[in-house]
Amino acid sequence: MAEQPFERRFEQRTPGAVATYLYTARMWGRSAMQYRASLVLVMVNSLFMGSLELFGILVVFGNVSSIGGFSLPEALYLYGTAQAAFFTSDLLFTGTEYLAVRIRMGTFDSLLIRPVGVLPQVFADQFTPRRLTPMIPAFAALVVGLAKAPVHWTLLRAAMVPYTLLVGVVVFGAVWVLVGAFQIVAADASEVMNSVTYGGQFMTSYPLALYGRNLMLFLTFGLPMAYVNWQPTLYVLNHADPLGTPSFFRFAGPLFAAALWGVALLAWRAALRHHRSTGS
Amino acid sequence: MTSVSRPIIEAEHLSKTYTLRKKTGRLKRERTTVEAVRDLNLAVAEGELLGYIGPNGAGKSTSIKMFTGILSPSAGRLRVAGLEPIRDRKQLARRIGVVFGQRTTLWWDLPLRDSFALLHRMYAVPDARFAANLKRLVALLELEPLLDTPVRQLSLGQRMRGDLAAALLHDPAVLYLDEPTIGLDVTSKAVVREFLAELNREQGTTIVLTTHDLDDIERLCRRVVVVDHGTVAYDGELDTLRARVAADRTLVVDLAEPVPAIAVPGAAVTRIDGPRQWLAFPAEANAAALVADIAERYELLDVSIRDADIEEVIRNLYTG
Ligand SMILES: Nc1ncnc2c1ncn2[C@@H]1O[C@H](COP(=O)(O)OP(=O)(O)OP(=O)(O)O)[C@@H](O)[C@H]1O
Ligand SMILES: [Mg+2]
Repeated sequence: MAEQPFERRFEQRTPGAVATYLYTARMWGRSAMQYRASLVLVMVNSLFMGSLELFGILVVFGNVSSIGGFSLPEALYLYGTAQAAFFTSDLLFTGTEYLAVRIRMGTFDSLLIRPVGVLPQVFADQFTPRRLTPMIPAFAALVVGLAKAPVHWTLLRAAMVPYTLLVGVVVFGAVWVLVGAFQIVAADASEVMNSVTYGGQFMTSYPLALYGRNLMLFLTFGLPMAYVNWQPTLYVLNHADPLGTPSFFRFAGPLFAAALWGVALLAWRAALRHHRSTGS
Repeated sequence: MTSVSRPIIEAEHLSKTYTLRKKTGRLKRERTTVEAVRDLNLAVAEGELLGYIGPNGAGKSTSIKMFTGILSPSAGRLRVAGLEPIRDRKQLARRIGVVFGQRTTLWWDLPLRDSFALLHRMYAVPDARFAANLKRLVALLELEPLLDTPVRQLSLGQRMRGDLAAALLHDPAVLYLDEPTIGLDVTSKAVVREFLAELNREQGTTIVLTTHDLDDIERLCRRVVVVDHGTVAYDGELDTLRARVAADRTLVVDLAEPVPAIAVPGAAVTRIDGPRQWLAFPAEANAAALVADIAERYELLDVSIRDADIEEVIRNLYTG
């Protein structure tokens, strides 16, 4: 017999996080494609709802020329970045939302017996192309806003646009991890957490100044939500921050994103440990 | 060459306590604990086919979840394939296969083939090896006509065969089966049993089989571990178990005509059906003397003697 007992392992390495995610998402995507008719209906519906919201903004600006110091194109841009970042993160990471159900049904176990990471499998859970449609009105608002807003384009300003989206997706990603951790610990409290993410989506969609100084302070320093799009947008549109934060804050997004991911991953690990010791 | 190798599963003083928080009032929450597994000791050698049985709630599934790295033990030491299940979860996953009879790990809306292809990637099984394993498993489990069927359209027995194949595509050293024959008909059960016996014999795969169908155990396992209240109540050969727990044997007599319950010393009637009566008598008693006794008083057409079946043996063990 071999010198190493129990050894039937193969030389090849098992997939890393990204490959695991892609393999799993592909399976879910193909599962969703089995129900093409309902998929199309839901996509059309969400496109309609998204466009309706956009239309609402146009109606508001039909009566006033600026809200919170933002003109219509500027508001469209702000709205577009928030929505685009949120729905991209929704497309990629929203699988954590289904954890409570998995745990209640006991199907979470089947993710734990695979020789790959748990989190990438969870991110990809229930992946569906349906989540692509809300991105259409989001990116439309972003592009139109950018085209019409009086921006003094520099290389840095131009680079800030994809940067805003990237930071936004990364920050929301961390929030999805927190959602997952929370769902594991309180498998029956999924609704509580929904208000956090969807609340975040709503808040970042409108000029933060609307919400008053205290809330703004909270969002700037408490939750890094402001870094999703508010601070970088201030820079792109050349607005001063009503809070008077130093200008390097416009670029501090990655620091906040990293810190939030650190917290989120710690919470995730703690939640997994909790699950393994309670079994439910 | 023979060498004394370490057991592939080693559990020492293994315990698992669940803590439950129950709402008892508007704000009050009470903590209760369930000792699902306590002080469990188990050593399984490589290549064994172990029957892991016990009544509902005995702690079988809980211990299997610890063996697979799904749950962390509350106390005790656990090694599987030389690894610590929780710490080395990913490494361990490549060496074990798991089938939970109650739920499938196959992709519900996709053809069986697709689930297998995903496992090919996830376990990084070399292509040639995967192709060979798939071919072998498809032939043994008669899956060829099902490969392109969405899993949701498979019958329970077909799905179970699919799950078995899925758990074995990466050549695991240990296979855990938690009630794999639940809900299967006689034919499907026979296919699964035959397959497991062959897997154990030909591939040397260590198998831990949990079931409430004691036929499974009688047909497959030499060694059984009986778990009761979270701890090992019996660990040894099936035959020894049968002998140790003295269960009554049954004498079935066919009389010439229906009569009231036969009264003979050393036996008790358990059932009457027309002229046929069933009498229970101790395993160690002399059956010939008993038959002679009855024949003296009644006109006997036929007699037969049945050994206690394993089900009865186990029942006696639980209650004894
Ligand atoms: N997730 C859980 N949370 C709390 N208690 C649990 C949990 N899972 C099992 N238990 C309890 O632990 C004990 C052992 O359960 P377990 O599922 O291991 O038994 P089992 O031997 O597999 O039973 P069965 O034959 O019914 O499948 C039972 O009392 C059960 O109620
Ligand atoms: Mg069980």
